[in-house]
Formats: sequence, structure tokens, C-alpha cells
Amino acid sequence: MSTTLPLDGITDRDFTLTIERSAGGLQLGLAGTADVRVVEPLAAFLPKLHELVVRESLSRVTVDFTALEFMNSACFKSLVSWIGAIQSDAHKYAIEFRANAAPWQRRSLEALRCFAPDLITVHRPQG
Amino acid sequence: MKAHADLKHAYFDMTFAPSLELVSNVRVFITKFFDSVVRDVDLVDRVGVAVHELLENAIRYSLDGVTAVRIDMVRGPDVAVTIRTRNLARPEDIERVRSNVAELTAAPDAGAHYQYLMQKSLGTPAHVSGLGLGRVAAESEMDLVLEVVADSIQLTASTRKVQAS
Repeated sequence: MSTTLPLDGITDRDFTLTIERSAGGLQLGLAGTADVRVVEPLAAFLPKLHELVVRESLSRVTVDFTALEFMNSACFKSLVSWIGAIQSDAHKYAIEFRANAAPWQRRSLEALRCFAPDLITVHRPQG
Repeated sequence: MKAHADLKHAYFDMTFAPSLELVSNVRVFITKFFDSVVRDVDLVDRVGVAVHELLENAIRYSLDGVTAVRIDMVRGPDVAVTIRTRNLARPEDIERVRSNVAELTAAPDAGAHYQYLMQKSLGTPAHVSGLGLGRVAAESEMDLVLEVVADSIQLTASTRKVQAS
């Protein structure tokens, strides 16, 4: 496994996606607003991420939503497509979401977890 | 743009020649406006999601670039919220929305239908979400009604039962 990442994150005016290595896998950090401006970059990023995880036989991707203010359905659809790619691939890996207290995150991530309960766990703030 | 608020009824009414990039700004303004009126974090959050999805939908298919949005929040025994978007649309886009709303209305369980839409979205192009109205029904817990007069399309989303805070 190489130590440097052959994949860049995303930087937009109101949105950033960072990527770094973590124990056993990768960690993504999403911040700001994922709306129509982010649809194409996110849709391009996630298949590359999947290729990287498969190529390096990683077991886990953590997705930190705690600084994410909003995600529209078109960006959410990119997450669904990513999960669909994992479901179709021989190499399965886990996705861990870290949510903040925003109600939309609870609802959206619960819908995503129901879509792939074997792959997805969601960590929410206590209380 | 008109905005009005009292203890029983708050509304926001705006017509604009839209840019999809402005939808997030409108969502933020509307959520702040209604947050100051109803002080119900969960309800205001649901309204914000619905406004965003309905506006993106309306703007994307607006024939002349003009979209109107009105949101009413009425406080009674429950808090009732109604969001209306109105725009001109091409016949094929009207039929697409009509079909999507008919599917949603016929579905006995909005959450299960949302899962179906997620499955159906696999393999479709990135710019085609197909999830927006399903999200309004499932996550915002709102019922959708479509009214079409000639090439004018009005989509109304209304909260299901919500308890006043």
C-alpha cells in the first residue's frame, strides 16, 4: 500500500471534501453545502475512490458528515451509486458515517443504512 | 417577495428568474425565517429539505426560467406547512412529474418507495437524480399534489400530521 494518495479531494466555494488514510482504510471529510455545484465532481470522485479501495484491498471508509450543512438529492444519489458499486463488487468494504445532530442527516443516513445494512454503520452524537 | 408572520400564520412568497446555484441561499433564508416563527428544529429542517428539492426540480424544468415559490405555515392544534412551486414546463417534463407524483401517491409507504427509487437510480446518469420528490415524501414527511393548467405546473407539498411544539 502506498502512503501517498493518488486521489485528490474536492474544493468548491461552499464545499470541501478531504481524503486521508486511516487505520485499515480511508477517511473522507465533507464540509459545507453539497448542492448542484458539487454533483459532477462528487459523481466523478466516488468511482475513483471505489477503484482505489478495491485496488488496495482496504476494509473501511469513514465518511465524516459532522461539518456538512446540507446535501441535495443529486449528491445523495452519488452516494447511492457508490454503495451500489460496492454491492456489485467482489471486494466488499464497510462504510462508517459520522453524523452531526441535524435532523436531515439522521433521516438521510438512516435511508442509506436501510439501503445497505450489511455495509453501512452510522454514528450519531449522543443525546 | 412577500413575507409575513404572526402567531397563527406565517408565509413566504417569492417569484424569481432562477439560478440553480441560488437554491441553497433561498433554503437558508427560508429556514431562518420559519425557525424564528415556529421554533421547531425538526419541522424547520424538514421544510428546508423539501424547499430545496422542490425548487431544484422546478428550476431545472422551468420553460422560461421563472419559478414561483410560496410557503405557508399555519399554527393550530398542529403546525401545518404547505410549500407550492409553480413554473411553466414542457409537455414531456409535465408528464414525467405527473408520473413520479402518481407513483408516490399510490405508494402505501413513502420510506419503502424511497428505497425503491434509490435502487432504481443505480446506473442512471449522475445528473439524473430521480430521488428529489421521493425524499420530500419520505424524509420531509410531506404529501405531494400536482396541478397542471395548460403548460403551467404547480406542485404542492403538505406536511402530514405534525404536533405543535
